[in-house]
This record gives sequence, C-alpha cells and structure tokens, in this order.
Amino acid sequence: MNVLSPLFLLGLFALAGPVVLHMLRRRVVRTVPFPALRFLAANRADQRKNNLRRRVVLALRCLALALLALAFARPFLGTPPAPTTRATVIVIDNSFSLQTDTRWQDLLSWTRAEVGSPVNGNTLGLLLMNPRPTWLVAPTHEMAAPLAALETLTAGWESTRAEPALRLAADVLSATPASERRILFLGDHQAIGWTGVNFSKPLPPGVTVVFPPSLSVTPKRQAALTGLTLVREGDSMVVSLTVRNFTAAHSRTVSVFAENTPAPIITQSLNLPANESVTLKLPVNTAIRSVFAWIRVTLDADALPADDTAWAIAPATQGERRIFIDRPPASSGNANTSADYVTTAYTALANVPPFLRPAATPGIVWPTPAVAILRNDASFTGEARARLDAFLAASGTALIFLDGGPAQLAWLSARRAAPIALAWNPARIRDWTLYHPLLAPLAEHNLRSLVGWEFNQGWSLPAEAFEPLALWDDGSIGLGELRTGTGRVLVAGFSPDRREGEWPVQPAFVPFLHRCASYLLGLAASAADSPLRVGTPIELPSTTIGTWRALAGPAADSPPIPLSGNVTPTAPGVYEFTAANSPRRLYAVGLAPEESDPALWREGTPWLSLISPEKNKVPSPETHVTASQIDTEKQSPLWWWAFAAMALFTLAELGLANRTAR
Amino acid sequence: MPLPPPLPDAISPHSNLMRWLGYRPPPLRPLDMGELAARSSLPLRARRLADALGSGGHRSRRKGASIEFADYRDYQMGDDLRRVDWRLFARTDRLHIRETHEETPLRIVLLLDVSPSMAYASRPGLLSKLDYARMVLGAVSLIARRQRDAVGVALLSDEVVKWLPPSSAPLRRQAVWSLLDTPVAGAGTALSASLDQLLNLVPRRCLFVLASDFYEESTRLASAVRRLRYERHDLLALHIADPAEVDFNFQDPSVFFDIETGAQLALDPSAAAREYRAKFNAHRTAVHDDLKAHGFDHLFMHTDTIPVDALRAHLAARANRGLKSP
Repeated sequence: MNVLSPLFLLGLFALAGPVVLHMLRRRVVRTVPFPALRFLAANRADQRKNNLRRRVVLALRCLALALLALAFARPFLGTPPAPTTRATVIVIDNSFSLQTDTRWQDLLSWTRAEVGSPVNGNTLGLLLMNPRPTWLVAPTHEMAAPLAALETLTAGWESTRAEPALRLAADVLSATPASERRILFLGDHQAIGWTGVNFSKPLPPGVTVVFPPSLSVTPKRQAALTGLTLVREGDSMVVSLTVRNFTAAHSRTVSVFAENTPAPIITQSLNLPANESVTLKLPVNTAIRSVFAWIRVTLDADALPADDTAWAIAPATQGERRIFIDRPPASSGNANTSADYVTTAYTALANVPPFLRPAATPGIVWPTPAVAILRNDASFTGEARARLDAFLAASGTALIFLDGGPAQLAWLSARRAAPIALAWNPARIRDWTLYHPLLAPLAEHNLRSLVGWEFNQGWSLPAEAFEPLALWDDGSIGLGELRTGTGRVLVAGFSPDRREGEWPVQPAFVPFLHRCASYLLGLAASAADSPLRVGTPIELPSTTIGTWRALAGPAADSPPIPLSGNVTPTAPGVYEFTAANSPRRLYAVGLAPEESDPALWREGTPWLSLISPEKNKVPSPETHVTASQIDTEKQSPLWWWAFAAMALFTLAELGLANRTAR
Repeated sequence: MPLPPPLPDAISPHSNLMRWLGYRPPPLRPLDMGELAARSSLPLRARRLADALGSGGHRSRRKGASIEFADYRDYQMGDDLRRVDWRLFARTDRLHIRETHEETPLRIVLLLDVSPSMAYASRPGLLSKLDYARMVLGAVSLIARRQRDAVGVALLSDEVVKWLPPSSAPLRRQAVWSLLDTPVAGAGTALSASLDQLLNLVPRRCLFVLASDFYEESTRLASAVRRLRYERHDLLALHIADPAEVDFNFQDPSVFFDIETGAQLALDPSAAAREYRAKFNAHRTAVHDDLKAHGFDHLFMHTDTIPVDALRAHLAARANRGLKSP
C-alpha cells in the first residue's frame, strides 16, 4: 500500500498522547479521606475487568488516531511507479507547412532516433501544437502507446504557434521527479512559427529543449491559393482567385473543377512574378453553373501541395433569402416621430449583403427561407395571421416587436406566451445572455451597444414560454426566443417606435437588427467578409443534432459525425451539415494563408535562449505525486474506508470510555 | 439640604411616616448555602435558617382554655357560665359552650451524631456534616423556643456522650445552645446502642430530631427504631450526606482513608463508582423504608443544599397530618 501525502503520517506521533495519559493515570498520587469506606469493598474481578477495558479503550484511541492520519495521507493499493529517470515530451508542429518536400518524414526519423527504444521508468508524452496545445498522449510510463501514435501520425493542416505548447510542456516536465527532463521539438524553424515568441522569458529551470537540425533550404517553387470566391456578377458567375508566389518567378496552371468531377471546367496558365500575388477572375459558363454547388480550384503541384487546392461554395443558395418587413403602426401625426427606422436600418446602408434586401410582407404565401420583421398589430389579424402561421410552420422565422395590440397579444396567448405590460417607466433592458449565438458577436464587438436601452413602455414575457436573452429591471424577460417547435421567433417586449424611447436613434439599433436577421436566417456572424479557416469554430444553423460530413478535401474519406452547436474543422475542404429542421448547408474551409510561406528563420537561433541556464532541484520521488498515483488513489478510495473505520472505533471508544469512567 | 415636602393632613403620620421619609423595606434575600457557610458561628447560622423557616405553631388534640376556636357544644349543668357564647345565644336563643384548643408544650429532644464521620467535608467552603447538623438542630431549637416548647439535647456517638433532658426553662435553653455550639467529639458510630441508652433516660413521650449520617447497619438500627415506636415516641430523622458521598465523582486512582476506622484502600474510583453508588443508595433506601415502616419521618439532606424547603415541606406535611411540629 502507498500513500499520496506521506507527510500526514507524521500525525502518528499523536499516538503518544493517549499512551502517556494512560500511563500517567495509573499512578496513585494522593490519599483521600472518606467516611463511607464501608461501601467501597475492593472487587478484584471488577478491577481486572476495568483494567482490560482501559487497555481496549487505549487501543481504540490509538487505532482511531492512526486511521485518521492514514485517511489524510490518502492511501491507495498498487505498486509505486518506478523512479523516473528521463521524462520526454514531443511537441509536434501539426501545421501544414511540414508537408513541404520531405520535412515531415525527416523530422519523424530524427524524433524516433532521439526517443530511442522504450526504457522502463522513462515517460513519454505527445503534445500537439496547434491550434492550441492539446495532449495527443499524456506523459506515461507505458511508452508503447505514444510511440505507436507517433508512427501513425500524419502532418496536419493547422498554422504554427510554437510558444504556448513549449511552455505547457515545460511546465508539466518541471513538475515531474525525473532526473532528466527534455522537450523534443518536432517542427521546422519556419519564420512565421517563431514570430512573436518571447525569447527573453526562458522555460522553467531543469527543462531542456532538443531542436532538430537545420532542414532543407527554402524550396525553389512554392505558391499558394490564398483567396478564392465564387461571386455573382449580373447574370453570370465569376471565380475570383488570388495566387501568392513565395519563391522566384515561375509559371503555373490553374484548373477549376465543378465539385469532384475529374475534368476541369476551366484551365488557365499563370505567370507568377517573384514573391508577388496575382488575382484572376475567371467567368463560369452559365450552362455549367446550374449543375454544381461548389467548385475546386487547383494549381499544378509544387514543393508544398497542401495549399495548392481551394474550394468555394456557389452563392446560388444564398440569393433566395428574404427579409419581410410589415408596415409600421399608425403614426400619431407627428412628422418627427413617424419615421420607419426599421426599414431604414435594413435598406439605407450599403454594407447589407445583396441577398438580404428587405421587402414588404407579400399578400400571398410568404416563401421561405426568410425572416419576417413584425411590429404592426394588423400583421396578426385575418389572412395575415394565417400567412404568418403557415410561414412559421414552413420553417420561416420572425422578429416580433410588441406594441400591445390586441391581435398581437391574442396570437401570443394562443401559444401560451401572453405578455404582461410593465407598470413603470422608463423600463430598462439589462442582464443580457451574452453567450447566446444571437448576442455573442455583438458582445464580442462592443458591450457598449447593449447598454442604455430605455423604453417608455414595455411588456414582460412569460418565463415558461421563452428562452431569456435579456431581462427588464424586475428580472422578467424583456427579449426572448419563443419555443414554438417550428421556426425561430424572437419576441422583443418593446417597440422600435421613436415615441417609445431613444433606442431607434442609438448606435446599437442597426447592428442589433442586422444581427437578428443573420441569426434568424442561420448566417454566420461575419459570413460576408471572413472565409472559414482550419482551426476556426463554425457556428451551425441548428441547435438540434445534425450530420456533419466532408464532401471534398483530405477529410472526404472520414465517416459522417452527428453534432450540433459548432464545429472546428481540422482539414480544408467542403463540408455539409444537414439537420431535420434546417436546410442543407455547405461550408468551404480553407487554410491560413500565412502558413504557406516556407521561409525559415534567418536571424540566428534565438530559441536556444528559451532553455534556462539554471539547474533546479529535482523533486523527491517519495514526496512527489503523479497523475497516475492520483488516478490509482481515486479508483480505490481507501481513505473513505479509513474514515469509516475511524468513526467506528471512535464510537466504540466513547461507549467503553463512558463505562470505565462511571 | 432640601426639606422634605409638608406632610398631607389626610395621611396619618404614624402609618405613612416611613414612606413619607422615603424609606423602602429591603428586598427579601433568598437564603443560600454560601451565605450560611460564610457565617462563622452557629447562632448566626441557626438564626438565619430559623428566620427563613418561620415559626410554625402546633395544636394539641385536647380541647381546653385558649383563644383558638375548636367547636360548640350544648350547655350542661355545671359548666362555667363564662364559657357561654352570649352572641350565639342572642341569635339562637339557646346556650352553647365555646370550646377552644388547648395549647400544650412539646418536648423536643435534639439528637446530634458526633461520630468522626460527621466531620467530613469534601471540599473547602462546604459545611461539614456535623456543622450542617448543628445548624439545622440549632434552627429547630430556636423555633421551639419561640413556641415555648421544652427542648433537650443528646450527643450520640458509640454511646450517649452528653444528655440534657427537655425543659422550657431559659437556663436549659442556654445549656442546649451551648452544647450544640461546642459539641464533644465521639469515638465511633453505634446509633442503635446509644439510642437504647438514651431511651432509658427519657421519662416521657418526646419528639426526637435525629441528625446523623446513619452509618449503622440497618438491621441494628431497626431494633432501636422499633423500641422508639413501642414507647410511642416520635422521630424526625435528618439523614445528612456530603455530595461526594452521594455522587462519588472521584476520578484519579487514590488511597482512600476511612475517617472513622482508619482503614485504607487503594483503588480506581472510576471502576468502583458504580458499585459504591448502588450500595450507598441501597443503604439509604433501607434506612428510609425502616423509618417509614414505623411511621417516622426521614429527610435526606445534602450539605450543599439549603434545608429550608425540605424542612418547611416536612413541617407542613406534619401539620396536615395533625401531628405536633417543632
């Protein structure tokens, strides 16, 4: 049996206490005059019994104290780990630049040679560098597992960030009791990987880093597809691509493929100046355009083929989305307050994506996918109400601003979501649910846009029907998402009417309305101008579980996986997400363009300064607690049994001690 | 110095003078053992205790000339006309003789056990059993003096050490008091023998008030009690014990030294406590049952508690039973 905290065993010295007290108690030290000695006839049998009881009580006290000390020492069964002589962590650069030429294979060979054959008592762990330090195999004495993982490991698709992984590995190693602690750096000395590293801050003392020898020089031919979009220009589609050359001038061939078809639909020769970017616009034949949902563009192979392929989604599916805005409520006649701020917010700004152009609510069945912005009581009466219900049943979405109209309230009451008018003014919106997908992009940009919302009139929404997004002063819901079971419905317990408050003229108004439309239509927070990258989380349009699978790219052979919420792709390509209550979505995921630069660090070897010259004291193996020991102790919680036995002995001691004291 | 306000005419100067001067009677102080133990002399202790007890008169079973009404009876030839109730004659037109209780003096003999065991006090500040007994008997003698009863005293040990027959003469009372104040120590405990010896000396029926720790074999004590009953005496037994004798809460192993016999016993008190308490309680119960069986009263007293409540309750119970009380 071993213990996690042997220092607690010093508590065994407390056993001397009851023993000393027991010995002292047995000494007769005084004479007591007493008049009733006739009732004190000496009973030797009782004396012997009592002496026995006292010894048992002493034993129980000692046992209870010993068990208490043992319980705090956290005992566990199992053999103690062999003393570690060498602890090694391999920090693996899983960026795609290691796919250049034979870098990956060369580095793997070097790493295998450094690790050598498994030795009993040594530990080995594998730590992936990107996008954030992640243990592929935690440090373990069973070296076969990390060595096997290393054999099957392939080069990754991330971009390099060396420093966090190095510092994490060093911190872990500095806490191990090994006599030799080292990091094997499985990576190239790409300039972009070392940029920004704080070389003046060394790693913990006692940890050495073994860097690979200088690798192959910068390749002769390396260019990358750093930008690719498929945009609509009038009635035609145009492939817009950017190629960045990182080497001397040379010629390349660009091929455009419709989805996974083997024959290109466009082939174009390209002359690349030295270290320059070239942008091409290639029109796509209209007849071809209707048969593909995405395109693949490739360059002919160079030293780093990973960045010679890119994908783009055809924008046709996004052009069908609409925003319907109903008529504003009747004005009070004041020209200054009758402006339609909502329509203005969606129409008057130039940065609204073209597929989000608003329109008035049509007089026929509302097509989907679309979002309806409703603030007029008339939109909830008669035929308009029937169209709204049919629209929501067909996965349509809506943003409803309450103005207290009877039809509006009746429509909500039918869904057991009747609001209650607030009895005070001004009412303030506060306590935002900032992690909600609707609000997270707003909060991330500037929290000030969510402050200072005041209204002359408001309605609180019932908690049993709404998921709260923001609350009124009294804690009731002021902005919530209605759980209808079909389309998403956002209900705001306030009005965008200028007569009800200053909110429509505040800076928060327009971003909030745009964010609501994007959220309800299932668009990414910044889909218009930020392409998706490997290692960047993608927010999925459905909160229910759907199927995520790769249609093209290195992960195309991977099986589909069920998931919801968000996903972080680990390889470039085209991905598809399908769920029961949302339309099929396609995502084109690219690579980080800066990683394509194969240039190596040319300003000496500053990474050697990360190794601290100090030698620290190696922790004693006897007093050091390892993760495996903690796991073993958790699997057999002997401390609990020690406590239980201690309690039992204490109870017995109390019972017997009372009997001996009477 | 400001003068007191003028005396109102409507207020009688005799009844309200003290109030007018601002006098307030001091609050009644409850009696406690600390106060009694702090009084150095027996007279002070006994007087304080007697004051707290108050004086209880006692009536005779005989009717005679007195002021306390007993009953009416019809007039008979030869009755003294001075005993006719003329007011009743005026209402009923018949002659009735008014009868009253005759007050008779009570002969009280105070029996004080002066054996060595009575000198025990378990801790400083606590009265010894002997002092406690003297205090209680002194209070009884004071009450008896107020009621003009005859009081005698006997010091008992293994024999009658001192004996003063009951008398209501002032000089005898002084002698009784003097004997209680400076008792003569005895050599041992033989209550039954000394009681037998005493009964040979007592001429008439008496009320014995016996204060003792009753460390006597209950069978031997029973014979003396039987004789008391046979000779139609009355007995109030005050069984006095130190708290340590009752609880026996000694902790450390010690050598116990018998005050009376000089015997020594080394033992662990925590081991012997259970058996001791059982024996002590059995002895006390035996004494109590024996006395009760013969119609005598038995009061068990701790030297750390005030005897007022127990004595007062006992005197009230005796009065209810129609018995004479000191």
